[in-house]
Amino acid sequence: MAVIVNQLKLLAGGEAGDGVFAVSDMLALMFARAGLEILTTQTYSSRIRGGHINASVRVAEREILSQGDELDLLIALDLETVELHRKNVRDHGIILYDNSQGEIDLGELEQRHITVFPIPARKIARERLSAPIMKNIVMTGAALTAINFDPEFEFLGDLIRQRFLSKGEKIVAKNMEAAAAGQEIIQQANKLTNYRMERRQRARKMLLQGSDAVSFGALVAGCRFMASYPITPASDIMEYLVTKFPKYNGVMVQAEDELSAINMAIGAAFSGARSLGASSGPGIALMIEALGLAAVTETPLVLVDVQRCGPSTGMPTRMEQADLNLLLYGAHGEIPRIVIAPSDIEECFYQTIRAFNLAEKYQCPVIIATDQYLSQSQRTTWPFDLSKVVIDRGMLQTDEELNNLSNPFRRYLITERGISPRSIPSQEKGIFKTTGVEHVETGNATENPDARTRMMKKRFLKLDTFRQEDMQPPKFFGNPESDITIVGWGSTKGVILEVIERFRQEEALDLKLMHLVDIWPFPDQAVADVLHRSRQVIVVENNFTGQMANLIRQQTGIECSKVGKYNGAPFSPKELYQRLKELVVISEKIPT
Amino acid sequence: MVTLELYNQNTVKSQWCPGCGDFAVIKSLKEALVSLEIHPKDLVITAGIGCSGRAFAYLNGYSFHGVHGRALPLSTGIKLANEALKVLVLGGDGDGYAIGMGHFPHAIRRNLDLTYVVMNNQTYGLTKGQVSPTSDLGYRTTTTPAGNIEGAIDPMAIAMSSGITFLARGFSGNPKHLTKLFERALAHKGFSLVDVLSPCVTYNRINTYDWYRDHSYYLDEEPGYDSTDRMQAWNTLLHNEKIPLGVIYQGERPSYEDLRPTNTREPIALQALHDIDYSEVMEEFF
Repeated sequence: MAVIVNQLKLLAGGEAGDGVFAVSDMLALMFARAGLEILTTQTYSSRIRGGHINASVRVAEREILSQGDELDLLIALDLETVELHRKNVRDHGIILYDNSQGEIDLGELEQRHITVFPIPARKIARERLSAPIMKNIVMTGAALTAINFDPEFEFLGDLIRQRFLSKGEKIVAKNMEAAAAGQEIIQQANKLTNYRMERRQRARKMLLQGSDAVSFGALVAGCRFMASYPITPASDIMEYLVTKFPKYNGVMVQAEDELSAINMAIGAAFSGARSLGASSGPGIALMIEALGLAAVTETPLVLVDVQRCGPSTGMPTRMEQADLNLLLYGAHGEIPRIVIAPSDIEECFYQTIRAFNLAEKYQCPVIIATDQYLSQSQRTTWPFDLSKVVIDRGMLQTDEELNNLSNPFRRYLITERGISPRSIPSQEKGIFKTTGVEHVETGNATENPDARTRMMKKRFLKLDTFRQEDMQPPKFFGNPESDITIVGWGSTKGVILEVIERFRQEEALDLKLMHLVDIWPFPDQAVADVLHRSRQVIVVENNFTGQMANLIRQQTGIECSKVGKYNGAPFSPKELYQRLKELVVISEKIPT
Repeated sequence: MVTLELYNQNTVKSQWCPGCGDFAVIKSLKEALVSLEIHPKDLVITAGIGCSGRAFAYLNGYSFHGVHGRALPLSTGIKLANEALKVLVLGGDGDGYAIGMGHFPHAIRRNLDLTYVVMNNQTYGLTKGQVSPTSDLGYRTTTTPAGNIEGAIDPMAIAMSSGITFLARGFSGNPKHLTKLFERALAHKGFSLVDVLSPCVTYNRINTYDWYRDHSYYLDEEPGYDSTDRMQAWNTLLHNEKIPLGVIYQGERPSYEDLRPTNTREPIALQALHDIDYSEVMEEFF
């Protein structure tokens, strides 16, 4: 077996409360600081203590597109973790496990040349360090040594100091002692492993998850108000912004429920603040009535849906892309809205900023659809270009503009582009009344059929303007000449790209990916043009009914093959490769 | 100059029934706003759904007529985004104490500087006469043909137990008294509730102007009543045959706006968003 350098997928697992995520977070950050590329995932349950949880970290020198397949290294903080994941460890891989509570049956592991290191981490932490909590640091020290990384604890030392210095030098020293104990056990075992991790020189990259990018994007976009109700997996956003807002004179309110949260966000937007709501399926369902209010009163609102498995409570900590219909059609009556689905960390940031600009430009709700996987997966990412950020407040009127009006201000003035001038409270010449009741240009209520017709047309005219001025066509990857088109949206982009590369390498078959970011208004023409020229179209998405495939049929009349997954986990590359292989009709191979 | 005439601008013709108690509420509100010299440009009126909610269109000022039961959250956002605004929340007993009840204690415990005026007629008017959460036991309506079998809610006690800092009750049959209550409520720093007994002349034939006159009394006329005394307030709410009118309780505690962590009191909505350096925040991702 040749030594594998800088190519690793590890999984740390244990019971909730074992400090599993501390292990994966620390390792990921160390690899990132060593100049390597990272993609992490978290799997956990809706409980605080007990129950199996795990986190994976995939490391490589080149950009990583998905969470990958087999494990090179399993770090098991309990015996259950070994039983659950041993079959996923590849031949010649490594298993580290805490044997304080018993030994595992080596069984097939020996034939598969898997190197097993029993580490009495609990025992060491309790007996030698008198700090049971440090068992995960013992395992971290052992793991680093088993993969031949950071032998002098340069990266680990920095990280431990950074995390624990506030608790005193003694705690720092004790953590280092814990790591050294883990290192010692591996060294004494005197078994060689096939893995080596080496530092690489490159410009600094960030390590952050999708929800960080959405939250930071909101801050940079000038969002200064957020109202939200705790819900997995969307709470990360409120928890991030509440720590940043004080310095920038913003406020995050934890509302009593989602009905309240969205109405608060609408109120703040009416006052002129850039305002955000964020939730997940159950909360979004409660917000739907007020979404209509935002649309009919033409109040700018940005709403994030971090999708999780539904329906009802579903599987709160697992990913799905099954809210698409809710986000596109959720409303009584008909409303203009814009729906955007970022597909990676960069898009989470830049599309959130764009969403705030679009919300103010078009004075309608803009919904950002992410999911648990994208939102809670950390990836190495180039620093965002803050100089590229533009803030466009649309038709928001200055006092001077209002003073220069020859006629009294009409908040819902019918214009050629459907967009009306907007004032905010405290502007003397901009006083207006708004209501969820149908209204005329002044904002006063009406039931006049002609006025109603005009106002409906005016509101929907904004979407025509959006199509002309702002709509982003789908993005294309792979071989543009390929007549087999895979269609994706949201977080599936990475895994589809990885699989396309595999088809090229293993089957000499070129595919192309059409990935939709702007989902509504739907880019009908751009999609139809490409799909009409495709011999085969396969839509890959994480839901049961094929919501995107159905949307494509509705908008273009084109029937697509569907590849769906709805068990709570994102597609793995191997699985998607096999599913596509069953479907792809290889009538002619296109030379590469 | 803030005048009554200014408050009559940008309004529409009322759709209320002749004799409706809500007319007095609007008249008194306008007088109070004028006497406090609050300019309509600095006023936001929010309203829920119901006959009372329509009041938003009957006086000048920025206004937002939202969905049923959510005027308090809407107002919370409006006020927090611009603390310099005066926010007046209008609604009825159905809007505030039934569909919107989930927000009532929370808005109160936050103690935001909002003035909430509930036009309480103990019945549903706009939907044509169904039972309300403040309807008395036995009250017959289209949905309680055999009489109401649910006890009435006591919003005043809920407000007290949620930590309200200004609690008052008025009566549409005495607009002068009402104006004084509104003046005090609007001037109060923190959450103020004025629950107004505002008869529905069309659907509620029990709780009429005369009925309220017979079943209420004025706290101002009670010797020794001290509205800053929490215990007296509780006693008054719990141990009276008749309905007390006037300021029941007035206390002091910091508002949500006062307590929110920030370096500046500049209204959130009015601050500049351009040319702000975020590189320090981004540094945390390395």
